[in-house]
Amino acid sequence: MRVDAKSKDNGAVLHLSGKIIGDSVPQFKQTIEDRLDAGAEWLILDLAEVPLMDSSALGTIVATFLKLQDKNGRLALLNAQKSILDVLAITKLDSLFEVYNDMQVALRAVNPEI
Amino acid sequence: MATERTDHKGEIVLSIPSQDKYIYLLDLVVSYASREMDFDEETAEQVNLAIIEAGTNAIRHGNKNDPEKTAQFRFQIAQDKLTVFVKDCGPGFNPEDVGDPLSPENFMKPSGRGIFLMKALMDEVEYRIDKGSGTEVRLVKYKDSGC
Repeated sequence: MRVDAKSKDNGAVLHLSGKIIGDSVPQFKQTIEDRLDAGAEWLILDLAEVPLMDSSALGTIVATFLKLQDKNGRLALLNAQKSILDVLAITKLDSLFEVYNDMQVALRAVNPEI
Repeated sequence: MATERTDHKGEIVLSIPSQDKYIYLLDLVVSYASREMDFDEETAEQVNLAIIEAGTNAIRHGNKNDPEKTAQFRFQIAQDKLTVFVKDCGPGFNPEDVGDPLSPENFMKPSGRGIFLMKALMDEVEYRIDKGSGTEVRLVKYKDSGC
């Protein structure tokens, strides 16, 4: 898994690529924690190049959602592939996460001040 | 040491150390098996994730990421179905003890979705637990099952 992180105002967009499985999951988790520790109040996870993530990666996203929610922050998933959307539907996490196909719409959703 | 060998046409056996990095090798073998089965893309993705979940469970929960222990996989490629056996050396567990991740008390937990996904994505999932020699799970995906 590769990560290209871009900070923007009081948040960050994480462009992820590759499968988030195996030993990529701790890297994924640490990348997010680093951003939260640095004070990010919102995060957008760009999943356009993520064909698969396992349940522990999903769990990391759930935990991230809760941490951001605790400080009135927002989390958005961007450009999720069908395989990811199917898993979100099966686990009903599509009712929890905000999922977008347009970066500008996602940015306005997580930070209305943008 | 990770090994891959084909015992006979239609079966692949894989044995990997219980370290997360070897999940990528498992991923490659699953992809190969799906191609041999000529699964469509959606079915191949379902099988891919389900077997990775089973393998990750074997490595992390069964074998506690002990590199001295192996997780073993047997892929049986038949005309109408793919059968995968995943075995660990752990003490065993009761799959019924794993909570429903859709229940309100579990929904927001960061873990506990692996077995649920396996059952949702495959046509058959069956556990056999031998407290003396570990846990084995059998997963089956039928071709053209429509799931």
